[in-house]
Amino acid sequence: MSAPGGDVVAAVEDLQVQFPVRTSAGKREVRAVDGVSFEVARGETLGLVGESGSGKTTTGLALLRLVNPSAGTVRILGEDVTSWPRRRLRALRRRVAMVFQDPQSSLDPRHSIGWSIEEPIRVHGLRDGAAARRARVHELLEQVGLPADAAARHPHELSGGQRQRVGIARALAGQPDLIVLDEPLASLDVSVQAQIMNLLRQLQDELGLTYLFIAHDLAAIAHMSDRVAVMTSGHIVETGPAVQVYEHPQHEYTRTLLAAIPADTPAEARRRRADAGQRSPA
Amino acid sequence: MSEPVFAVRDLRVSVRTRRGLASIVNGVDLTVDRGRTLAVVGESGSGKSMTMLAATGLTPSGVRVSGSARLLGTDLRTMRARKLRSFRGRHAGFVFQDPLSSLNPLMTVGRQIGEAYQLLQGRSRADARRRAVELLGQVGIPDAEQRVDSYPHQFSGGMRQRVMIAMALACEPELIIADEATTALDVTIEAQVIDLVTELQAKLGTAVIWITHDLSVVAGMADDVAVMYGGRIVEQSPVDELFEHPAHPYTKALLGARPRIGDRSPLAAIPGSPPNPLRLPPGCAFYPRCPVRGDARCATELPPLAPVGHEHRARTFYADVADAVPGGSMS
Repeated sequence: MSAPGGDVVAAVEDLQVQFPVRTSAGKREVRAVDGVSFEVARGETLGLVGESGSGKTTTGLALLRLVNPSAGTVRILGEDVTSWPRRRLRALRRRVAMVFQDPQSSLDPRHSIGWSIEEPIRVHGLRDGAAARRARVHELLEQVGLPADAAARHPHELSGGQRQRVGIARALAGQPDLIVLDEPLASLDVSVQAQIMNLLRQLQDELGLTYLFIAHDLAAIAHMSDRVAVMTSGHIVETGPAVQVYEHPQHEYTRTLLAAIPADTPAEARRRRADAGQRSPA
Repeated sequence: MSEPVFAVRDLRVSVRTRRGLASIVNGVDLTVDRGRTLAVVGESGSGKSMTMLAATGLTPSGVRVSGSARLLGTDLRTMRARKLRSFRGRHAGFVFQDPLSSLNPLMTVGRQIGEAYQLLQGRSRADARRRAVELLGQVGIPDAEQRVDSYPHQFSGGMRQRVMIAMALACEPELIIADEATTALDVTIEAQVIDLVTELQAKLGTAVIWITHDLSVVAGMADDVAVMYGGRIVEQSPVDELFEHPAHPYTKALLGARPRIGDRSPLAAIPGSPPNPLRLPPGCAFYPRCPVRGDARCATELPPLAPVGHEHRARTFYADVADAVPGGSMS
C-alpha cells in the first residue's frame, strides 16, 4: 500500500491499538485498530473513510501519539516515532497537527482567538517576542480567511464555520508536515461545509500541505482525496485512487457503503429502487 | 377534498433571552396529508425543529407561541394540557435524534413501548407486552420475544432508533414527526431506518413529517419539501420539482454546494453563515449571503411566498434568475 511517487511523510505499518474494556465477564482488550498499514506522500490527501467504531479516528490519534499503539510502527519522515519518549512528543506534534470535529470543544472558551492561535507558536518556540508572534497570528488568520480583528474575539462570538477556520489556523501554526483532519465538516452547517472544503484544498495548493482526511461522508471524501482507504472493524479493507475505489469497488463492505450514499435526485432514487426490486423480487 | 392529517397556520415562536427577543419561527404554514411524507429542511437556527415542537405543544415554558396547529381537525394550540397529552399521545408519534436521551434507562424497552398503548387505550399489561413484541418485530429487531425485556443500553444506536420508531408506532398514530431521526446514525443504518419508515407508512397510511438538515436524504424519501431559512419557509414544492427547478437562490445554492463524486473542481460554496434569530435582517433573511443580491428591495422588504409553478412556491423576488450560483462552475 505504498503512496505513488514523492517522498513519504507518514508510513504506518501493521498498526494495532487496544483499549481495555470492563465487561460482566471481567476485563478484556478491544482492538480498535487491528493491523492497519498505509503511507501518505507529500502533497497528497489520503481519505480514510469508515463508519463509527471502524477505528478511523483512533488511527488518526495514533499518528500524533494521542493514543499509544500496542503494536506496529508509525514513521514520520522516515523516523520511527512509535516509542519516542514523552519529552519528544511535543516535537512530534509540531510535525503532525490535528484538526478536530468540534471546534467548539477544542477551543478554550476563556481565551481569545488570538491567544488560541498563538499557543502553538509559543509552545513550539517558533517566533521570538510578542510582536513577531502577533504578526504570525495575523498571517495565519488571513490564510484561513478570517479578519484581523477576529484575534480579539472569543470562541462564542464566532460561527461554527469561523471556529473551524481557527482550528485550521492552529494546525497550520507549526508548519506541520502532515495534518490529520478528523471529521472537520461533521459539526458544520451544510451551507458552510463547502467553504471549509474549498479552504482546505486552497491551502493545500498554496502551502503544499499533506492531509489525512478522516470522514464518514463518502461524497466529501471523494471530493477531498487523491487516494481513499476504506476502514471497518479496525481493518483497512480497500485502498486505491478515489475514482477507482468508487467506480470499481472490490470489497463487499465498500459496495455496501457506496450503496448507502443517498441519491442525488428523486429520479436517481427511483432508478435505484427499481434496480433493487429487480435484483430481489419480493 | 379530505381534511389534511396535520395543518399548521401562521405559526410564530419567540423567546426572550438575556440578549433580546429571538424570533425563531416567523409565520409558518404547513400541511401534510394521509400517507404522505413532508420533509422540512433547514440548517441550525432555521426554526425547523421549533416549528414542530411549538405546533405540538412541546415547547418549554417561557417560549411565546401563536398560530394554529390542527391535528385531525382539532387545534392542539387551544387544547387544555391534560386533553392535549392524551390526544397527542394517541394520534402523533415522535422520533428524535438521540434515542438515548428520549428513552428511560431504567425501564425495559418493552415497558416503554407498551406504556402508551396500555394507558391511552386502556389495555392490560399483558396486552401491552404482546403489542411491544409485535412492534419490535415490525421494526426489524431480531428475537423480539427476548429483546422486549432488555434495557436501552443493551441496544446499539441503530437498534435504539428502531425502538424509538416502535414506540412512536405503538398507538398507530395518524402522524409521525421525525426530527433528525437518522442524523446520528451511520449511512448504512440510516438507509435501513428510512426504508423501514417508508415501508410502515405504505402499510399503515401514516403521514410523516421528516425534519432534517440534509437535503440529500430528502431526495429518496419525501413527497413534498419545505425549505426553511431564518424562521420562515423560503420554498415549498413537490420533491421532483424542487430538485429539477429550484426557485429560491438559497435552495439553488444548497443544491449547488454539494460535492459530487467524480468532480473535484472547487465547490460553489455559499459565503457567510446562517442568520442569528436575535438579529434577523428586515428583508429577505438570505440577502446578506445571496449570490443574486438583486436590489435594495431585498434588503428592506420581505418577499412573499409566491407561486412559481404547480404547487410550488418561493419567497424571493428573483425566482426566474437562472442558475445564479457563486463560483459560476455549476452546470
